[in-house]
Amino acid sequence: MSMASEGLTPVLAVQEVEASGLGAAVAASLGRGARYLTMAASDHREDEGRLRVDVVLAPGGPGPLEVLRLHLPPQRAEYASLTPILPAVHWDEREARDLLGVVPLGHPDPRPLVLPDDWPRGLHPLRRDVPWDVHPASAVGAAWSARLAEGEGVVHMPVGPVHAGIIDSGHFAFSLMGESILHLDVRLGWKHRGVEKTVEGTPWEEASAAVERVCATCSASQQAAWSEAVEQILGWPLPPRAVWLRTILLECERLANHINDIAALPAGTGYTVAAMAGSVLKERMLRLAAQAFGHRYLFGAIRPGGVARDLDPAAGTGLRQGLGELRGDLERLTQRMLRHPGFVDRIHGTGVLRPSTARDLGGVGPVARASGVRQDLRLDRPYLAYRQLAPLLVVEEEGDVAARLRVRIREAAVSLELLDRLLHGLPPGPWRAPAPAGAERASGLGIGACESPRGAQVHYLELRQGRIFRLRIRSSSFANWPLLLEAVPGNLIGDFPLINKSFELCYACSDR
Amino acid sequence: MGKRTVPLLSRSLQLRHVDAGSCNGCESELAAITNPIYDAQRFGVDVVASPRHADVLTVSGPVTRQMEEALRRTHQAMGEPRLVVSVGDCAAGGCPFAGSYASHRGVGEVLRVDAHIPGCPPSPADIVRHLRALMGQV
Repeated sequence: MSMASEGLTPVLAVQEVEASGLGAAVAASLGRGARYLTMAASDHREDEGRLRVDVVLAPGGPGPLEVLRLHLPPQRAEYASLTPILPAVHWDEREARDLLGVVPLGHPDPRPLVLPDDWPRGLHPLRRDVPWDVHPASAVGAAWSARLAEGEGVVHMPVGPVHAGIIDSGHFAFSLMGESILHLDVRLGWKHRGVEKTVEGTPWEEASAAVERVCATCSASQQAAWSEAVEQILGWPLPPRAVWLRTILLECERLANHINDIAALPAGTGYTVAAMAGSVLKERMLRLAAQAFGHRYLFGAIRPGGVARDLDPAAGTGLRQGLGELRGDLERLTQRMLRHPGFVDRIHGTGVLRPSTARDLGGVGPVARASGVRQDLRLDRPYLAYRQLAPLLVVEEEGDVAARLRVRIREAAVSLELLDRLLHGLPPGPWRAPAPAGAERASGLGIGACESPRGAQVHYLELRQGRIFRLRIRSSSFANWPLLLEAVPGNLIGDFPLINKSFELCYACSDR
Repeated sequence: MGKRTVPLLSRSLQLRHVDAGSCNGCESELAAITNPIYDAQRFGVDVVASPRHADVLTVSGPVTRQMEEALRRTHQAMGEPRLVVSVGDCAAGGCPFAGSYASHRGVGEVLRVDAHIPGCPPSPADIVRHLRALMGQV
């Protein structure tokens, strides 16, 4: 969002609130049209003798991000849960309870979210006095248990964490009546690697390689949000060419993901011809990315202050030409898919996410936009080159698998259009700015956000003396997982893979 | 009559995959080995839906604490002979998060590894090449 180059406007407005007043402050902000972005708990016992919870909201119009700050005494680290007034935070609150022992009183779900089943109760790994490499003996206590529907004839079907296909690890608990799904619960955290604890204490200059490996398929978005947070703290403006190149990288990533997600859907209906044709287009996109930027998933592409390397003119021309060829082939494929009666029959009316549910639970990205939520950070808080080149907002109303597919098809076309203009108008000049004086000892809070292929990607970063004190990553998938659970009941179990693919949620960045 | 012997698994390798804490890059590239460009099936390599049908277990990620048991059980479910192939740098201990409170330092801490495919992530071409080498085809 707003770069330091914006000038005099502060980027963040921190407001300290009492534990008893947090709910009212959040409600007032939401009432003014603000949108929830992220929440981060952190351990400040060493210097302040207390724990901290920051709730970050973006105002409805322009202006600084609102940070509502709560201080909590370590002996009574509890506050009234925000979930009843802001359901979008319900997983954030569970995570903060797991990792920092900050207790949201009255939270509707007492179960752990990310910690392993055998993790000892009361040991909160993101407390600063818990060593990074603590490996406690297996304990009983914190284990997750599925929420199931009960009744005569109801069958329970657990699936995962290991799945039949090549996908990430996660566990689903279905309650079925015949083939109909009555209820779905999910257990994530299988891929929890302790990302945020691992980078604590790392100088910001050395953290990019870890940050970009939180998630491969949205790596450029992770790099961009992370870099923006650093730049915000340091007051580090980007040169125009860097702004443009970063935008090109983000749009290339969106396109690769949308093509993947478009191709994944026919696979879920047995329409193999289209799935295979789509997989070829995805491979072509990954190769174009590798040729232009050196890596198929854009690892090592973006660094604070700019990008990691320039795009040479020949590679830029090659990319533009390759994208032009891709555009026609993608169009032909998607038109063919949407004319296939069997495929169309399967995707219409399947896995409906109601607009009110998408809004109430804080859905983001194409999933929310397919349920009528008019929200896209590229337009709502323009950043990078989106300030000059606003993409078209793509919204569908039906909220079913078909609507999510149509959003991605249309957004892919918008990305191709945007990329053509970006590559055509790429300004000359430096692609990275030197770090401001004192950058290696900088302290402060920065919040970087961008619209990843799956929606808002938010990095909350506190630096102290140039080292990471706290990094919390709220990924778009983290925001959207609870929505999937609402769209599935009432559908047939055989349609679950299709619905799941139409959400195309990532486990790696949700679990971290 | 001289009977021509064929090395074990040299013509057919059924593969089951476990993600033990990857960034999903290895999964994306593994899924690509059966697309029409790499078409690993022409070499006898295929992905199967159950460990009971598999000859080789591919594993990505550093092995998180929460995935350890699922990984062991998937391996135990396989019939003999069975092979374990670690895929990607994380699986060999090169993960930036290896050794954290939530994670092992690679597949080798949990299972005996027969072969490793390096890369971050390894490309589909790399994966196919290493699998063919494992089969004795190249």
